[in-house]
Amino acid sequence: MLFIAARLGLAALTIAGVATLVFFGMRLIPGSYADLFFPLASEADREAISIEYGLDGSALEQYILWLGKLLQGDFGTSLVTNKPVIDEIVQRLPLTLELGFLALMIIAFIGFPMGIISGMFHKKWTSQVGRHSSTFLMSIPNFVLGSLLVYAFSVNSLGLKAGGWAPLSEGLMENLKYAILPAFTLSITGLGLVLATARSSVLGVIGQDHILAAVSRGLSPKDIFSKHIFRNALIPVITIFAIVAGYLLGGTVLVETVFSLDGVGRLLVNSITRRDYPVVQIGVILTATAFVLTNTIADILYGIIDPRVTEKNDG
Amino acid sequence: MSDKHLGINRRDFVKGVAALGLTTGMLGIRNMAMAAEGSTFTFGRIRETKHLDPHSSQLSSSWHIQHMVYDSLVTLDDNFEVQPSIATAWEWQGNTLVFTIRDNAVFANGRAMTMEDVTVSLNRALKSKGNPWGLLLRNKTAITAMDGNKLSIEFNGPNNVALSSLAATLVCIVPTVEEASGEWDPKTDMFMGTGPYSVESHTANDRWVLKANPHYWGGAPKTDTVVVRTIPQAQSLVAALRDGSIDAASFDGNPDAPALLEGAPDIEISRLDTTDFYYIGMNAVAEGSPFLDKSVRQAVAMCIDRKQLIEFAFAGRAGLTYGWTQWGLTDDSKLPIREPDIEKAKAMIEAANLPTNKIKVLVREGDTLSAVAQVLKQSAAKIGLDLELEVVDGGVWAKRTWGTNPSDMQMVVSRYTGFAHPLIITAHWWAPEMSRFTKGYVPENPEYSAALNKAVLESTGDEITPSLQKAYEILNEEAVKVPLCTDIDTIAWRSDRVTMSPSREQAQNDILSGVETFEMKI
Repeated sequence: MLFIAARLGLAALTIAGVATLVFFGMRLIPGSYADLFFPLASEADREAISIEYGLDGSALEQYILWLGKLLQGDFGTSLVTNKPVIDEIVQRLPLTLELGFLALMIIAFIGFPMGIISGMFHKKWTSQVGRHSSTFLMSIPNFVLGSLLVYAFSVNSLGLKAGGWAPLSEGLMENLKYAILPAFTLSITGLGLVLATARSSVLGVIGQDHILAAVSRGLSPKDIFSKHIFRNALIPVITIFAIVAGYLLGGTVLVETVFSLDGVGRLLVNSITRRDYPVVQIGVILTATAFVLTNTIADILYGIIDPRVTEKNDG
Repeated sequence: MSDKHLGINRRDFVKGVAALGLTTGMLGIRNMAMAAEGSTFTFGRIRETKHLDPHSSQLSSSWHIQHMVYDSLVTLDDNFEVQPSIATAWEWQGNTLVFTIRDNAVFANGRAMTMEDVTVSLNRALKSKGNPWGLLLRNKTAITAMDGNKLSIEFNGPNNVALSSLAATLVCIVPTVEEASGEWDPKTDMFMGTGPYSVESHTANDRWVLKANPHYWGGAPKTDTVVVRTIPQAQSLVAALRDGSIDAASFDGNPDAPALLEGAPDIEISRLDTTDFYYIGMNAVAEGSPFLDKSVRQAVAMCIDRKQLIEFAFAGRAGLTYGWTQWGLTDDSKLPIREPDIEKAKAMIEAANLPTNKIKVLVREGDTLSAVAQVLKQSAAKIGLDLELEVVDGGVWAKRTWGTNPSDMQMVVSRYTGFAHPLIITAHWWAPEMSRFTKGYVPENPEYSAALNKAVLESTGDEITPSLQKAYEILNEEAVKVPLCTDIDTIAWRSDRVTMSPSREQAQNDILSGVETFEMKI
């Protein structure tokens, strides 16, 4: 339990640090909300606008005020839409979560098995295919792949949609028509990374003495794989998976922009360019929280798979 | 090794995570208002509306929606001629502009518009923070409702820009009674006016859903619902048009739009010319700027090959202009600096003996502006200048160009809305003592200001154009701001789904002008 408490404490500190960094970072970017939206206003008018939107006073004063409200559950109001920030984010969260979830599924059910197979049959052509595929997949920037897919499928859709979105309420098949291309684009780097990691993990385990010993003891290939190879190869893959999950959160920014999807990633980018400070602040905090939680869950998973991790930390 | 740790069974844990993921996905059911078949017209565009209060909306992307909702006293036709809207007739009585206000204008909530709505709206607009229309109508002395649905705007002298400037949404009529009672809040996206549509819902960055105003004075709109979707990628717009997700689209200034749509069945394309234009500005105020020297500014203006610029940056799809002549009132053949003269410009740069040939150029982000800057870089290289391009977002650009005095840049590349009449922009945006926001890089020029004042406030009838021509010649010779070309938009629509006649010329970004006449075929 000490292990979990320590991890959660560290997570809370990380989130607080990110929140502070983003608050002051946003105010360091030249050009305020008033500069951007009221460029033709006089200086006096722009000052009045800043007061009206609570953007007057020093950054520290604004920070203390914002933090006080945040601790009372007041997430603020968007400067641009005049709607509660939390509504703006919650409205878009399902799309982003679904994209991330589908990308993770693609990585888990295609990348991971491919990596295992590639590592297990390392003397066959499948291993070479796995090795080159992982390098190829990791080297394609997702915005390049996304742009190519949008172009290709805008000419010949093949039943898939290159832009826009249909919520699940319109049916799973309709939803998938819109979701497959962006989810695949989002998964591409993670796919390569997990494939490569799983492959090298298996290769690393397969040559070790205890595997040879197991073979000589006459254990069945199935038992050797499930008890020795798979379990030992899993830990580095989980680490990579946690990193990939975090990466996916950032990747949605590009993918949502390329595919014109109204998700949290695009909202954040638009809010930064529009100096919509309240939305950026809460959006980044939520994203950081998701990232930190993913890593915390990964840490806890290590404990489940390999109890030595928790035992060591519990002392 | 046990399967259980921390009281959790691994299999159950994995099941739980999967269930959580699926549940989260299911919760992803968003309440998106999808276009229903029948009387819904769905339009796609690149940019999103950012400003909500129409009286302080200074960005053209906001006007796309506001034009459908709010009416102004007058409107413009495709030739930029003033046409009736809320006012059915008008006449100058000395220095007073007298309007006849229509008696059948009704807000979307069913309340009939009153004369008080008109006077309060106009006063509200002119007092709104950041609304530059107060400058345009600066010699106004009173706005008065008179008997018999008449409204007078009194000026203390002529004002040659007044009538056409009243076509803008920046001076539209808003529901003032509802604003006072709190039923309508100008800071929210629930736009409501006397126009053909009112806003039913809005999801920022995604879509606006507008419902027909059944009381519209121009007759019931032919389409019940208009959905305006924001699709920032041109290629996605093309895909949406092809698969019927949208019925029509505006591609903004994207020069590749016609090529992208080539061969697509049932898609019609229309070119929309605008008075908006691209320009460069050179800092003639900041200490140390190479452009304090007029000959350097003139050399830069002289090296620009506009035809090449239009070909490379706009795929040939932009309007050629050497001055501020796109309204057709003045003659740009008389402007001193027109066609490129590389040899002369090179000699001028050499004679200026600049300490360095490097010039920092602040470019507002955007594909087209970056392409323009790249072409300019090549032109400047021919006269020995090395333009270093710094592409920044709109906020940084506005701060360093307009929000700092002196401006924190040497040269800028940007785009201006042209509006309905040349006097609107040249009389006010160009003269720093008027516009204020250009003070950081545009020096005051009494000769120019005198010519402008004569054109705007002192001339009548035939005297206006010569004064304007003189002002343009001064601007051209001063070469602080140099227009490059006018902007165009591409409107494409599915001819098998909708019957529409989009505007061919626009001065106010009313890209859905006449939307109430668009008729769905399905």
